[in-house]
Amino acid sequence: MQQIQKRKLPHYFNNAHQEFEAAKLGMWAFMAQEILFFSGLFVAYGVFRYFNPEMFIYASRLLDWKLGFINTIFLIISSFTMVMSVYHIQHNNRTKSLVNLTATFFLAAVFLIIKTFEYKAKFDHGYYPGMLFSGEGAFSSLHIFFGLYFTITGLHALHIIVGMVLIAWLMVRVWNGTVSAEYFTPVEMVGLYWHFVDVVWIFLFPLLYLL
Amino acid sequence: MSGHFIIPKKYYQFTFIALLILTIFTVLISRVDLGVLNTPVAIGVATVKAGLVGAFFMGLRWERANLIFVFGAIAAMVLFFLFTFIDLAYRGAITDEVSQPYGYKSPVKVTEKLHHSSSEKMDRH
Amino acid sequence: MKNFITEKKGILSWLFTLDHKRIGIMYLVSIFAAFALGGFAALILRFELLSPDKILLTAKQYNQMFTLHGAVMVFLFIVPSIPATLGNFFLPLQLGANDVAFPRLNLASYHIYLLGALFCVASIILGSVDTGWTFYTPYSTSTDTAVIMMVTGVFILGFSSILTGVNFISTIHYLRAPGMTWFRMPLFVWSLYATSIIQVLATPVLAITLVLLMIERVWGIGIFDPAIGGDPVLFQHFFWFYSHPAVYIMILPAMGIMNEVVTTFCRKNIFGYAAIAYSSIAIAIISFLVWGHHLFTSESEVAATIFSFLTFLVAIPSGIKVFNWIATMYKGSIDLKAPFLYFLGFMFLFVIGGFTGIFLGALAIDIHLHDTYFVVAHFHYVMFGGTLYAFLSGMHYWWPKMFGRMYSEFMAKIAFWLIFIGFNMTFFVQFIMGSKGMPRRYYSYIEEFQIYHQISTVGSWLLGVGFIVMLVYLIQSLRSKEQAPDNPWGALTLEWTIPSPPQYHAFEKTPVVDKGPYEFGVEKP
Repeated sequence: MQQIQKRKLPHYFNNAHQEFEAAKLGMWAFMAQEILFFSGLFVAYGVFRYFNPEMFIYASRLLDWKLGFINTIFLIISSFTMVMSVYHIQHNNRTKSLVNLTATFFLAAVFLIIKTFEYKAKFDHGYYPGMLFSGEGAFSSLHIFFGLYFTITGLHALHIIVGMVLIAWLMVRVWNGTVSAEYFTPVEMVGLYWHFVDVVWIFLFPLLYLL
Repeated sequence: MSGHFIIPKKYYQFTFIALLILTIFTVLISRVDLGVLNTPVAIGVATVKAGLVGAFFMGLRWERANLIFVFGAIAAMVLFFLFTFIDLAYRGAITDEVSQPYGYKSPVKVTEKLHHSSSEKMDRH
Repeated sequence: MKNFITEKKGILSWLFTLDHKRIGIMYLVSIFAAFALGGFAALILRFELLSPDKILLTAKQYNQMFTLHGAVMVFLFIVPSIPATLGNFFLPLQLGANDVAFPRLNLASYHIYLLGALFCVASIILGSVDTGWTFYTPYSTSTDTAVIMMVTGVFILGFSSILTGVNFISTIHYLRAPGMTWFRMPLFVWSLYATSIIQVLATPVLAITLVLLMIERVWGIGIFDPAIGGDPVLFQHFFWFYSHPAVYIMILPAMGIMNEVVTTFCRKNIFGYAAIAYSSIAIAIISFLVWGHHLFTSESEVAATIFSFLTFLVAIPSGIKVFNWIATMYKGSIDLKAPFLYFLGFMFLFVIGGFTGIFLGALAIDIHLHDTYFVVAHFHYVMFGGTLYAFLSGMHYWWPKMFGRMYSEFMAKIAFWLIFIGFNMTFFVQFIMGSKGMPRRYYSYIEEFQIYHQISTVGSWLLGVGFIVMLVYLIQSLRSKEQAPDNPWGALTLEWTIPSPPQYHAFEKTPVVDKGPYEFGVEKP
């Protein structure tokens, strides 16, 4: 671990508190943007469920809820390690913060690996997205469910990957001392993003696997 | 950053345990057929979980201005649902509408005629 | 004394600057390049329509040309126009701040804009899109033109818009000068705040819509294409959930500029400051409730009736603004300078555009007028007569502040009249032709519409000449040696208290605000 580096306040801010609050509001505005981005997917899900209620019940049973459940647990643990990382950096305990960040990173990776196996299992049955679909089913509209499933979970996985890149970046910054109890804005911001990704999954799990 | 409010650890631990319990609860309850209540219960539990994450992990319990943005975004999302479904629910209410367009082609190999048979197949178990 | 233009030299010092003023200027140049491209396409379209037979373009090329015109004007020009240029430059200055809250994000938004523009231009070369700027399915999933390329471009441009919005929200909340309370902010800032809210909340829905459109086109997952189980009307809901609020992204900052201009050139405090501020927020909220009026002929009758009712609500905050501006002018000491001429042009044209909007919002009348030239004329009166006029007004108003040079007032007036007459000639006849049943986006037409099309085309030439005159005198003003005064109009907002053009570090001493932005005549005994 390297020494904590002093940070210079940008010239257009009066004090560090103002900078932190501005960054947090900006991040929340960005979260609002993310909520609306995913709302499009949820509306699409709702609309097609409304059109094909029986097909959705049938299709959700084709997914493996056990894998979905394990993934949910992993994401919740990763959210917890993320807040603990923020907590420790606020208390200037950089080692513990780094350990928690690393745990978050690996939990995210495990999530993606499990997701890959899930995709693989679906592909083996010919459940590809859209027109590539070659599987069997009781409903002629079954491809719509899998189209939505791959789109929604795919975009969510993309968010996980972005989150992993950000967490890796944070690990470097905690290591080289550019974030500390004096300036922990990046950790807090990435934390907010990570919890948002978790919240999206909290909704996706029952909607796709259980209902 | 002196004078900055730090959320106590106990809130994080409490939230974490609550989330785990609720996740197990939502899986268990989904094994029981509640009829029309299936969807509301599942979404309700998910909303409580999301609320916990938002309030404690994301610290919204101690926020003011940022909370307004979140509610604004949720309100916009609700409007999005509401108006789209007003359209869907009343389609064909006055004029007739064909259920399936001409030239419909599906890539799915249909094995059994589930959706035309009795309602017991609609059941989840 | 060095100003922000002479501070550093070289093209890289511009492309990678973090200075909001330089980013604003770069946006200005890019946006006018986009305007020139879109305008050129419009002139070609109008030329083709001189006759119902082929002159220059085939029918397919005509479709590609109007798509180019629409997409470039909407996504590359008018959505970023005022916030990204004048907003970027003057929002921090009006607040008494030295930069926006996230300068690096600001620069990123400009780079993202360039990347998006690159994709859009590339799609022209790779077989330009012929779907119209609305990309309606199922045609957009089946046409053989470069839809993916164009849609990717628009998707990227959306993020530029979102980042600008995020940046402005934080800036307005946390970088106000001491003493500048919410109700001492200039009204331009209020309107940018309302705009930013829409940008942040509506644009992501466009992003997801376009992602789904691309997925539908590539994999055919059956969301939008009816042939594989999708619902094309759902696409229209998705698309207009963004694109109707986007209309207010275009008009709200324009209304903001009008407040600055009307007070300065009438030398009077604004009438009903709070009402105007709240009406901006009201427009932002109502903008999310009315998107269905674009779907009157395709959605269910119940939804159409509700949307028709909600649409009329927009007239209330818009009316509040217009009446307050008139009340501000009353007994003012009016100075008919170029920016104020554009203000008057705005009032005249925006009111026509707004009232025809009421016609279109009425369900029964809309069924007749739907997809005719009446609609084309309506939104050109609002977008061109409203937004572009306000943009030109603001540009003339702030030109001496941005560049420290004054343009020729005489030439500006000539250009104004050319554009004003040309605009009305081009678009007023389209109301008549539309109400007689001329459909929009048609390549050919019946004989009796030819005279209207010809008047319209001649008008478009006048418009073209007007803009060339403007370009000439603006460039001339930059070459002149004469320094413009710091405050040529005697305006009271904070950006006029610093030198023209501003220094890199605009406010050496943080200003302290103790009164409202437009308190003319208060300082005199």
